[in-house]
Amino acid sequence: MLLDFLIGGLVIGGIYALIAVGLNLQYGVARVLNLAYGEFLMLGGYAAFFGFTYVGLPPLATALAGVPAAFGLSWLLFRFVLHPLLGSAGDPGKREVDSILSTFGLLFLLQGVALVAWTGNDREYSYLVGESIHVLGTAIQYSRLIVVVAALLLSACVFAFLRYSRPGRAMRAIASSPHTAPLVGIDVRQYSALAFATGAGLAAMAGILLSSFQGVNPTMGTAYTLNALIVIVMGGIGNVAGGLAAALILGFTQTLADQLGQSALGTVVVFAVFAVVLLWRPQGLFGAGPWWSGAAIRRRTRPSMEAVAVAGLGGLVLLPLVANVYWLLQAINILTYVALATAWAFFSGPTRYVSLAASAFYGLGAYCVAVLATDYTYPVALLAAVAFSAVLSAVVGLATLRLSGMYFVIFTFGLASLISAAATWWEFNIAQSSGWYVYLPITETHIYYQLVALCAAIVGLWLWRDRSRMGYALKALGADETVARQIGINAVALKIGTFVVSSVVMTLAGAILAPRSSYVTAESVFSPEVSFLTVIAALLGGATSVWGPMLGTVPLLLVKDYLSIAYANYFSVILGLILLGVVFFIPRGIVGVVQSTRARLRAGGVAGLLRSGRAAVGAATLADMLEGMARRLRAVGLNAAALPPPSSRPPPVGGKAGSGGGPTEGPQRKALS
Amino acid sequence: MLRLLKAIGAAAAMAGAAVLAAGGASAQEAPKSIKIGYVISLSGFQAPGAGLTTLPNYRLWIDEVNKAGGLMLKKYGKRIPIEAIELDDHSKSEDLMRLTEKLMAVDKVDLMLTPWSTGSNLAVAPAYAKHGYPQIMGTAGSNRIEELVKRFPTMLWFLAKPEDQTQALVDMMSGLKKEGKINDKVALFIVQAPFGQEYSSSMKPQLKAAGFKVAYEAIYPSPPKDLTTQIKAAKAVGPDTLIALSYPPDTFMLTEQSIANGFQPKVRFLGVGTAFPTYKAKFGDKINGIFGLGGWDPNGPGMQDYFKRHKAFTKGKEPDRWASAATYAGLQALQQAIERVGEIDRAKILEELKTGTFKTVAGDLKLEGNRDKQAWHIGQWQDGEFYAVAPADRAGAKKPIIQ
Repeated sequence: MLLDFLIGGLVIGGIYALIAVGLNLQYGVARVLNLAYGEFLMLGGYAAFFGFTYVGLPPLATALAGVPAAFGLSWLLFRFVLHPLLGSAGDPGKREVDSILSTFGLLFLLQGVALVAWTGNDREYSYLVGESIHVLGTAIQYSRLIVVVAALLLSACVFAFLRYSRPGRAMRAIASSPHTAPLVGIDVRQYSALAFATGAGLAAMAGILLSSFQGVNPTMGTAYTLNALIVIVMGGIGNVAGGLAAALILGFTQTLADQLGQSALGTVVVFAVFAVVLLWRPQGLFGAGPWWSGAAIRRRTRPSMEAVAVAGLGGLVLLPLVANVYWLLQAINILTYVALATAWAFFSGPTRYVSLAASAFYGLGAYCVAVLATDYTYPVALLAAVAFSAVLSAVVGLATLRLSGMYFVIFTFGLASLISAAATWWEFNIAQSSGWYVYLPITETHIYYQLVALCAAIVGLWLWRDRSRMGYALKALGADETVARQIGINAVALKIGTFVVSSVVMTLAGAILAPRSSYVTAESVFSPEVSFLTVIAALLGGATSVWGPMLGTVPLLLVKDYLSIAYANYFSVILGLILLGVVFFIPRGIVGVVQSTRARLRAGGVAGLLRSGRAAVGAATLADMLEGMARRLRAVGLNAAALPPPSSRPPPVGGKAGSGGGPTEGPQRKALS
Repeated sequence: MLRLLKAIGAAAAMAGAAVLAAGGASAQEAPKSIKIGYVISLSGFQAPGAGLTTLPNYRLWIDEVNKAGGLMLKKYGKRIPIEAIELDDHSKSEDLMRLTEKLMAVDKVDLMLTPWSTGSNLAVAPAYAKHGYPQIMGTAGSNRIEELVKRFPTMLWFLAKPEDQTQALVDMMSGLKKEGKINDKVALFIVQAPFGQEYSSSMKPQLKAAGFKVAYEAIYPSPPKDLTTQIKAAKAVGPDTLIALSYPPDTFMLTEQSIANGFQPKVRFLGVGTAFPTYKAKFGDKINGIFGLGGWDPNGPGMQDYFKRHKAFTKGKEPDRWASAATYAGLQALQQAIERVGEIDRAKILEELKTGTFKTVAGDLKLEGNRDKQAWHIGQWQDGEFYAVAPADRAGAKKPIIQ
């Protein structure tokens, strides 16, 4: 029993460790939160599949060619795409936001390419199927044994490399201080590229090994990225030994749950363990590299655009009278994300906490209505959803708003997974339901008007806040929390209050939309994509202005839908390229473009505005893009061997520049003491 | 103002005339094509299932019909080719619902095929019912068919009901128990998902009524990382029957790990994925004797030919042995219904689908209460083929083999 427990824990822990070690290098050293990490794993899996199926190569032989290939390609990718993209973002917050956007684009791109090339089908091959070795009377499968050995070996190698080799030491220097590393003669770009490429090589290795017992398909990667993130955050970002230990803890937790006959609860427990660890030791169980606990970022928040399109609201109210059902549904879709993205920015814009909890609250709202509305009427279900989310977000806020920067990002992501796992568990084991049938007499038009009201409410609330004392307090808080506290601002209450409002709006969006679906399961409403799309839309538009999220959402969703209808096969590829292009050409978000356009127009006078509004907008946009491109191209050149110091980057003008996930200071407790 | 009113009046008159003219002409003039749309998961987590079972059949059928010149519409006395519109829902029900409405309300397609999986089909059922499109479902199953059909009379079910499938399995086990071939202990693996809930909620009372004991039960999240611990625990209680209500990734994992751990009870039944050709390709003769959902009769009329055409069309891919034939049979029924009606009149076509008898690869098919009661329930791998073994009284059923 004990031996079984040890082996079981080692196997699951080994899988976790193997998928995490590469991301640890990429995130810990190259400082890229690579959301497309799992896609490298997927490509490795395909390499193994094709190698085995068409050439007859065993997976380990494929690795001999595949890992160097992954290394080389991703070195080029980092050197010529990611580094120029992120290089100019000197501060961690901006860099994080840019890396989220651009690697999200990369994720779409790689998935799209795989989809076009190999279709969405699962690929399996049969290598060492069911063959096992007996150790002390217990069977261990070869495929799992290889994973465990590889995980331990690779972790040890990476650990020793970072610890004892010269390049490894240089990498650690970069990890701890990217700005001073060049002063002692370290080529930051070179070593970051090396770390990133090694991480990708390790991801490919993991994919190659796992593919012998898990099917390969184009969209398999995201789940692995999430698992890897949890492991490295728990172990301490950049801390390879810590990552290994965290992986084993997760493995043994799951195995214990398996042995107690509570496998399903294991997922819930794993995320709960993760949440507790984060709260207890935000720097990870075993400490982490220090770069993201960086210095305070000072930014001014520009007053939001004052030109309120009240006429727009009138147009929205009349839309259902003229639009056909498809455009009505399209409008519902857009309004949902306007509400989500605006609510997201309502909290994240001024406080700069990047939250990935949108899917948790959106799902909670939808789920409450699905479960409660049939028995207790729709209004009661709405109220329950509001109450539920207010309490939950207050508790979460109390517990987590002490976390800073990336820890908060990953905590909220884990929270969404925790709630989804808990709901799935509850649905299956307690409610014993195979999904909820929702038949409410609520038409699309009703849903549409409710969403218009919800959007108007959050926008109105934001505008009111901007003019109130609370708005100024939040601005002060965003600029410098320590100073804000000293002048008597109740920072905690303010942050929690804002978080609760934001969460309740997200919950309502989910609740209002729920009657659209006639069949709801926990699985279907808690989709991590909701979180991603919300953040992308808000960042695209610019998160510090009340109009930004709207400006981002509308084109993003229209383009997305158009592409998926007109270019169904290449949808993902094109969307990925567009996202990459956005980071490349309009680094300050759409609001940034609009603001610079307005500045130019103002300079040209009202007459100029009236005469050639459209031409000016076009020219200004083009100028903005060219400016961005020139900056990027310069960064590709030789003069950008090191990251430019913060003072050399263009002054942030609202837009997404101000919404970074960067911490405003070190861990909050320091400020309190 | 007056001018505006005049203009509106003139426009209305012209529009009216145009409608009249169009109505007059359509009596003789045949449409250039029959627009058939479908929204399906080309990407996302549902894509492997849709790409294996549903898509190849849709594309094959459309290709075959068009190569024959199209569907024969008596009203115009000629064949009209199909113009297919295929959209991707990215495995998201919001996109699925929106795009379905677009095809129906904006593109006004003549007919719709259906998405993959029970959940997806339940999500769009209101739209099909509202716009009156027959919903021919080859990959959906539910214990609440009667209730659903009452609410959405356009739903047509071509797979067996879960509770009938589990009952067939339990009946077969009862027979074996009476003959003294197996004991009364059952190890039950259930995936924590609506599929697992639907099948286990009907199966547990059936097992109890037949005198079986669930000696070990494991509920695991989907997809699991590893199932060795549970398999060892199950093996320890000494059951003669393993029943796994599993999804494809877990079906593959359970199969492999139960072989590795020497857990080979006499009756092994696994869930979705057992009928996949990739399952046979991966495990070869190691899966001999394993039971699963569905099954088929390879010697049924037209079946061998269908198998060959499917393989040729998909460049070597075999159809899966559960829902593939049901999906294709649904399309054949649709084709015959359209040609009998002789025009694109959805209400008449639906009526014909509900009441007519059709020659299909799944035999003579006639729906009762909007569902195919004759659909195969349980199959078993015997020497490289997944033969249907239940309902045992249906023609073409093979006898199950127990070592």
